[in-house]
Amino acid sequence: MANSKSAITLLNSTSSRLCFARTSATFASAPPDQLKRQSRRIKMAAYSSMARVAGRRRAWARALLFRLHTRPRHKTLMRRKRRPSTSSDDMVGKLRRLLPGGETMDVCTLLEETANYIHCLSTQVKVMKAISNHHLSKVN
Amino acid sequence: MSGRSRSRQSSSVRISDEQITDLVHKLQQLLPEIRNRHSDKVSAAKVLQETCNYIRSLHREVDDLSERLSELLATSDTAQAAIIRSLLTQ
Repeated sequence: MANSKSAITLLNSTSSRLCFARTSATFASAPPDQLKRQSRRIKMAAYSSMARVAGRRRAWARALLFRLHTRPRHKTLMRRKRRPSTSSDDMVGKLRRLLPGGETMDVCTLLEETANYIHCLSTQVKVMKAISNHHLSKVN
Repeated sequence: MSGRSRSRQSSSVRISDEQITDLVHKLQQLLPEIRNRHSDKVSAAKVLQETCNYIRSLHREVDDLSERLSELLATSDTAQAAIIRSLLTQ
């Protein structure tokens, strides 16, 4: 199945990126701000591998990679300052702001890309859960 | 190559209601909250609302898991390679 294959690729990609994220941090007891930095690095690695696995054909993946590579590091990833929304019931508008690159898509593409994004994101969450559970079982 | 404009979309410039309904229905199948409800009983607005909620909750989960993983990696010095290898061979 293509799904399980992509999940394995995702797992592979996430693991090696986590490995990289880890080696670029210090090993000894980490102070809180260092943990924060490390966690942000892991988050970036997770989103980046997810976008890479999805491929360049996906508009959200291109937008996400672009954002990851150009966004100033000190700003919070994946979170934007909330603008006072004039149309609070505009669901499509909300979705546009949530989906990377969603602002420039037509409605059909937006819905299609959203479906794919949700699929990839939930797989990514499963992969991260698996890694942390596995890690926990090793530690304990 | 600009992947932005796909050939099959440029051929049908007008978006039909049917297409939208179909896509909204596909989206509904991905949402655990309303997946099992009959599609006639869920409005498109509700699907979009739930989609936004679900994406937000997934983003939060990635946040939490990143934190958890960074703590786990900081506290244990066990061979990372072994863990990854065993994960991949499962």
